[in-house]
Amino acid sequence: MPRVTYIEANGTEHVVDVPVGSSVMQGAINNLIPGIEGDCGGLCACATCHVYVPPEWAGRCGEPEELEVNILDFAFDVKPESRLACQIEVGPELDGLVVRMPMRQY
Amino acid sequence: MTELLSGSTLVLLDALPEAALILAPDGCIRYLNRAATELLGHERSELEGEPVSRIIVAQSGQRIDTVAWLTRWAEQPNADQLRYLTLTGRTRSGQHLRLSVRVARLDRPDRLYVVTMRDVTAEQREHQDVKHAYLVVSRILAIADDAIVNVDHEQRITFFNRKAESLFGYRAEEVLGASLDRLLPMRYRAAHSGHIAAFQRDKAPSRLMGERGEVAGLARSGEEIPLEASITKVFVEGIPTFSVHLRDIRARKTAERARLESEQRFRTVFDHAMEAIALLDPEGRVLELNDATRALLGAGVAAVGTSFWMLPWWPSLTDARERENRQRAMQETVERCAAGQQIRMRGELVDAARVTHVIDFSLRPVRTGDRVVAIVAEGRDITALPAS
Repeated sequence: MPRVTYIEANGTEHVVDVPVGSSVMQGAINNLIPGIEGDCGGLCACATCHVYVPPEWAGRCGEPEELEVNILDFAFDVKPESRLACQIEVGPELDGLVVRMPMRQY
Repeated sequence: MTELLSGSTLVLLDALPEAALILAPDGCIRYLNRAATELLGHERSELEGEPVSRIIVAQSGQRIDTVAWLTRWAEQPNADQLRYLTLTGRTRSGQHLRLSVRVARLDRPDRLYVVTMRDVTAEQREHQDVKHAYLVVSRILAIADDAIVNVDHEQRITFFNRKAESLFGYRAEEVLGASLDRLLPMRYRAAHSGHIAAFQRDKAPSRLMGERGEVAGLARSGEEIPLEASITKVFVEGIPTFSVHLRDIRARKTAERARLESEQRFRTVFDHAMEAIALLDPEGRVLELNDATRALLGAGVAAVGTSFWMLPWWPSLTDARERENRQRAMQETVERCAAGQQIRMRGELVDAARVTHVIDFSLRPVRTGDRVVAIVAEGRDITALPAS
């Protein structure tokens, strides 16, 4: 199972195994990781699963669709590496992925 | 205003409990209803003609352009989920509100928008508080040292913490939704649902399981694990959830067995020694006697707890005063040993058959630090020992 490291804004690291086919957001929710809310349940409609994906992983995470880019307008402290975790599907190529959480989701 | 909306529409808008704005396509406020003036604390005249960004604002760190979004939503009548978003409102006093905002375009040539806003600040805070509490409690349960397994009223697993994962060898997602049977040895399965049903009816909210026998779980490896288990039930809207807390007692069982075996070995040596051995507490009361001591005293003597000098050492002695003297002398000897002195002496005992035994007798203090915690009394019958 691919291993994903979630780093909270305060630096706390959570290393968990996320099943192939589920989203990076779901992996955080299932493992009770603070800092990712996922209010809309993964519909790309709430911008509360905002994460930063380091450039070295960006390519393997796929390009965000227009809707995701638009919804990121509602997120806080958006940067070029910002993504919505619900739109990143975990596959074998994401084993070792590191994502960082922003200071706030609301 | 008359050119904006008909009188009856305005009456209708003002009667709405929900705050509503009419916006021009450029984002200027053309009208706000009574509920909106109450929500925002503004007079109608203060806001009419003003940009909507005065009352719906981006928070710091957000890049949202409110007007662009409102117009974009309004133009997407089918994209329902986009038209229900939570935005930040600002009242006249500068207070921020969380507003659930919907927008629709009126079917008119001037392309006006209706924006309705519901204050969800308290609701959202409450929701957040519940989520935080849930997160905290869940994380506590997740790392608890007990395996915790929740089942619903149909005995489907609904929660499986980390300790349960390591105890049973399953990952939570493999067993969530599965029947609890999977974690039970075959022979318990039939009866177990009856136990749960009985507990559901029981007036006790929680209980130690296995009062009528041992509890065991079945790991993925097929290994049976002896467990200590307690169960509690919570009814939500009449439907019970059972939470079972399990503790692996394999280590304890192994330690218990090892202790018993060691105890047995010690007992064997103790009881097969040629010497009569007794263990006394510092007050001289008997804690343990071996078989050789019992043989010396005569079978059937209930010695444990008795003062050492009160044991029937002189069965044939009829003179009470003489017996008391000897008892006192022995008591003094024991007390000297309790004070730390090691004692060895030769003594004679006359048994019930009036046979005299010569005894090589010793008392040794057992110390923990400076304190005497016990006394070991030893006696060896050397009557028949040939002189060297």
